Amino acid sequence: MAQSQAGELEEVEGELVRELARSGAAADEISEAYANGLAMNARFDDALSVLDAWRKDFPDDPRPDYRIGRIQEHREMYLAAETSYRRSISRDSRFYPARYSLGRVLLHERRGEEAVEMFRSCLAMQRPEAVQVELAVALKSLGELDEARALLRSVVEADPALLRDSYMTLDQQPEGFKAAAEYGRLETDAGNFAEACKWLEIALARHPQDLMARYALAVSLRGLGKLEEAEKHFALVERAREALQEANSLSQRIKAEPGDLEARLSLGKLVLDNESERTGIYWIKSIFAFDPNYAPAHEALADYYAARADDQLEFAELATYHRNRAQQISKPHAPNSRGSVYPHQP
Amino acid sequence: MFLGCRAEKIQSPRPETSGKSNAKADDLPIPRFVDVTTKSGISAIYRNGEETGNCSYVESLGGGVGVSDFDGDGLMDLFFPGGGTIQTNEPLRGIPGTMWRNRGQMAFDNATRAAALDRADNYTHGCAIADLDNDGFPDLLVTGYGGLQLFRNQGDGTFVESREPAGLLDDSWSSSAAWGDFDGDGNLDLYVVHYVDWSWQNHPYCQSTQSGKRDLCAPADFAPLSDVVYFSRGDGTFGAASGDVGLAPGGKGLGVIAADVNLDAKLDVYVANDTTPNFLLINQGNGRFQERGVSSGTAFDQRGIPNGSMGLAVFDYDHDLQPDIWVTNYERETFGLYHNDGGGAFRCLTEAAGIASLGTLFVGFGTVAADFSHRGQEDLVVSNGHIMKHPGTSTVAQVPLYLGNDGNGRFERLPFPDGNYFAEVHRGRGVVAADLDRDGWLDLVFSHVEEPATVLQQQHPQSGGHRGGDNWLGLRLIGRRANRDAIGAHVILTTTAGKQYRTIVGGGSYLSQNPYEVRFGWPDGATAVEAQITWPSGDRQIVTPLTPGAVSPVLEPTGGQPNAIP
Repeated sequence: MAQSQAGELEEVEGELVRELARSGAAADEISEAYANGLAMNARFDDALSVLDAWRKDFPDDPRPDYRIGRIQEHREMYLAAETSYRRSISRDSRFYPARYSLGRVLLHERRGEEAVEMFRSCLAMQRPEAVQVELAVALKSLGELDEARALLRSVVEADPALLRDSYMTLDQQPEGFKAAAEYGRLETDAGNFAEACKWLEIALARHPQDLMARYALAVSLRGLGKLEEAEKHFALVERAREALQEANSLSQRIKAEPGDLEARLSLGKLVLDNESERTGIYWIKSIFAFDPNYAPAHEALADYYAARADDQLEFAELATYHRNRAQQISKPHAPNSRGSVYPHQP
Repeated sequence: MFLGCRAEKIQSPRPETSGKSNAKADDLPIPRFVDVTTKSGISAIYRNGEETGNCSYVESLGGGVGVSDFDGDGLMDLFFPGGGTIQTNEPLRGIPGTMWRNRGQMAFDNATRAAALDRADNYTHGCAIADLDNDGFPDLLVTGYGGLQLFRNQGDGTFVESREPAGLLDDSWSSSAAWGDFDGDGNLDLYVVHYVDWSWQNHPYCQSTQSGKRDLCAPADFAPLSDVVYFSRGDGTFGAASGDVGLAPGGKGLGVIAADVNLDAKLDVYVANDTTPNFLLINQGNGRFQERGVSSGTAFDQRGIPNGSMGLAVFDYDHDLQPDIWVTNYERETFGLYHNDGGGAFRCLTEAAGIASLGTLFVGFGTVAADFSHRGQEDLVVSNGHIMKHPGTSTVAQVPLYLGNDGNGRFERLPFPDGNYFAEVHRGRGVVAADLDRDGWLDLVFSHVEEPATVLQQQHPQSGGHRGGDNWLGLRLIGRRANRDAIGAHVILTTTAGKQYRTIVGGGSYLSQNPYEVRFGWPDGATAVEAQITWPSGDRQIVTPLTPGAVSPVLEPTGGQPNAIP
């Protein structure tokens, strides 16, 4: 189940399906792991089928609707996601991951006051630090800078382990140090440029592709009269945005033809280089749902992991694994590259 | 077979967020705008040709509205571009615009034929009006697909089309345009914004992601067209320039405004681009520009992301005497409020101003900033309407917005009663503000797509015959060394309640033309002390005493004593 939760479905899917068929007391756990694995491999329709079955079997469990909401949110079906999250909350009003996610959807839809209300309802959590960050973002969107500042300040100065726990409780794995980035952006808006730079630099050290933080840093550096430095960051943002312009057309290509592997790979590389490593890797890995033997995807992953082999122990192994797969597939008598390991794939 | 492309619900339900208004709205006065379109006699409908069901991208832009005193009788007249018709694979055909002569008392006559404006060589969108030859009679430029039209005002109530002799041979797709003296020679030049490379040869099949039905394509499906600036030679003719004078390539431009944003007495240009970074062209002098959008902080929104930008206004919302920039944007984006930090540096403070909470469903087009209530604060009006036929969660027709300036750097969306124009949905595009009935209060004119234009009269029964009370004044600057419309001049009014900044801009709003005059209001109990005018040349003039409750012309001094004409 752990492998499935991590998206490594390839080796365990058959066993999960058999476990699920046997059902029993652990069916909810298996369903969750299986659905997550499917979702992480971009097999959303399959994941939704599993979740739907889970929901029917466990009508009081808030998790299936929450998971459905997460998939809908990912697919930019915000209205549907809102409905799913609300349904999840109606099953368990203290299920904070759904409340938190609903707040995020409301914020995305610029329904700031509703988002604030939703985030405030999560403050009763034992570890509310992650909620405080989003509450601050929602308050900032309403122009309520003082309260937003106080909230962010308390989070950036808190023990990082507490924030990590808070995100884990909410089933979130944020990339970088969002509290610092948001605090820095707020101080940029307020014209407190020195304070802004301090926190934006911390945020960017953790997540160099955070273009919003980098843009705010450029504005703040300019405000401090550090024009050359500012220009450097402005130029980085401009270049990244220019590159990302292509992302929209690639997304459209993928929407029109989900099996367009070339578009998925291009989008993955583009996002990986310019916006988010996690999202970029997601798009590259999504190719394996269509063709696990697509050599260019393995090559891209090998390159990515090799370049970061010093960051995490398993990255070197992953680099070797994907390099070998790519070489294997590229051999003249490789197995049918359109084949699928998934039993129910066409 | 193309039925699926037609707008199914012109009067579709308003967005869910439309009925909501920010808190504190009760504290701000709500101007009383009354729809007097029928009474005015104005009947102008912009036609975009959508009925043929082609989903041609040219349908998306719509048309604007221009206001100016064309006949010099002291009353503001109106012009509406007519749009055009579309037949598959055929050249687009234009529909003549309409000219409406103001007879006073909010009554207008259709003067189109009499003015010889009943011709349309192109499918049209916008208009830009200015007195090109300094004869006191405003001339009219009409933008559109495939060419510009320049109508010279002959002063006798008629116009003559003179694009060819003027050298305005622009066969591209032009959206907005702005007049301004960019090279400082006293003659008006012209900045023309070009959009994208749509044509019948480049007409992809696109469909709504929501409904799956055929719909208009997205800007990303087309390549950008570069803008062009036409420099006046001073003899009634123009010469085109683009990259050679520092204009940025590409852009997908929809809106443009010419204003001196860094207060160096040189007219700069800001361009609203659709999904690509907005341009801020800082005038280097002698007609050369440097594109500084990104480093100025005006190319992107507060997240560092380019928006689908359309409408523009320049105003000073926080009374720091620096021109700020206001930008209307596409749905799922916030509108942009760019605070001027001085020296050509801006910060997007949309969130701090409370504007980010308006909701994501508005597609904002035309916009004006003005002190409608004579209280010393410039409010904002935005005309909204979707370009798509099947926009999914949003609607084709949308409510317009009135954002009241609370005087503390924040704006509140003001609520209007059911039945009011601001509470109903429209397919909005252009909007202008002008005192059409000369009662001292600014009125509004909106243009729409496939829907009659609307004239809103601001009514104040309590002010009786006092022409809007005594806590306002207008100045109509008349350039002598500068261009006659004084585009690029700015005025700082000193009142006992503080100072206020206004500037005379070229272009602005969306495909539309506002009057070239500045208006100020101030709180009850305060008085106006003096006005300091900075003419386009940089020369300064102090005007005092001032005449409250009236629009006063002010002649640019030519070396002698400054003078105000009562």
